[in-house]
Amino acid sequence: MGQEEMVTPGEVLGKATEVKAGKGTYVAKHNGFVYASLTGLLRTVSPPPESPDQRPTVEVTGHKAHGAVPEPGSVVIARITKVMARMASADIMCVGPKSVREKFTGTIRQQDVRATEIDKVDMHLSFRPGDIVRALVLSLGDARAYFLSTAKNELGVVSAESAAGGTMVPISWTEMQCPLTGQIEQRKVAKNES
Amino acid sequence: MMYSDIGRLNCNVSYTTFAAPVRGQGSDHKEFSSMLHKALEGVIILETFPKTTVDVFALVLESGGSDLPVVVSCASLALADAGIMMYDLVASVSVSCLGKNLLIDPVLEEESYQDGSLMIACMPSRYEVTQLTVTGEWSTSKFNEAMQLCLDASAKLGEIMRSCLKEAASATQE
Repeated sequence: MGQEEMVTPGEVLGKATEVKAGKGTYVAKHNGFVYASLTGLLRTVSPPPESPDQRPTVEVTGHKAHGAVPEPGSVVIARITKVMARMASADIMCVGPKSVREKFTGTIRQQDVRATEIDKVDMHLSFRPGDIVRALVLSLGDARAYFLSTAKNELGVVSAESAAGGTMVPISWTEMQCPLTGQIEQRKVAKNES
Repeated sequence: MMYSDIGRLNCNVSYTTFAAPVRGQGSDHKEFSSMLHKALEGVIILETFPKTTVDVFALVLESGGSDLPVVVSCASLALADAGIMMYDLVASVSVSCLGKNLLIDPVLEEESYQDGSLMIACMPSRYEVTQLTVTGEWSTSKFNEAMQLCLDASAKLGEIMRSCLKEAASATQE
């Protein structure tokens, strides 16, 4: 459906029995109408022909792109800032493919580093400050930081610099090697998705 | 800062020293911040902002009467323009009662002679009131009349606000 129309919060988009509320819209419980909740362009998406629900979906895309915000279940790219005995702190840089505008901090706790032998994890042999990790957001965490997890094969360190300053090459799921000096360092390495 | 599952709203209204005709008189505006908060908290869908705070700061540069309704309406426009999820816009209007007359959007001078005032902040398309403030002496019939006047004016203001928003949004799109 091509036609696009500008709407503002509170504009009636239809009845809940006739249209489905998508992003940027909501259903008012008291009268069953669908209202817009954002300023932006209204789009009507036809349902796939085989779906049992034949109502078209209305959605409003904001005229100003909102910065990406991490939420539980999303995969983020973060830079390790501090490694302590029981947890590591990280600054979240990307949520999925989008970079974040504001600063979000996350913590990876010892028990969330890997899936097996979680009590034998040594944080210092898993991460170093400056490492770039791919992690899953577990929860909104506490007041300060999101809780992140790397307890999956495809999660963990994706890029790290060695003491000599070279970008290290992963050689196993726990080791990375410096191409300049040949030195091997311990990391929780992420499996390459290929 | 405390952890919160839903977003929070933080409002602050302040005046410049030169806002009022008498310099440096801005002491009785302390409650405006909380009134702005009350007027807005009902329209923002705070569930969509876990762990975050929405800050609304209003600075009155020149005060000419009916300040709070203007601040509320402006704040609602700013929030809508910023892409904050809201149930509706908030349009706010005040009415002053001077003897037998009702004055909508009173200026500073009229406000100083008023017998009573009524301010309504409402969601124009949902026809719901988010805040209502009454001061002074009112008769029931006068009050009813004033309230209807306020709601009608809010509906008109809401339309103007919508067209403004659309204009601004279309301008940024190009």
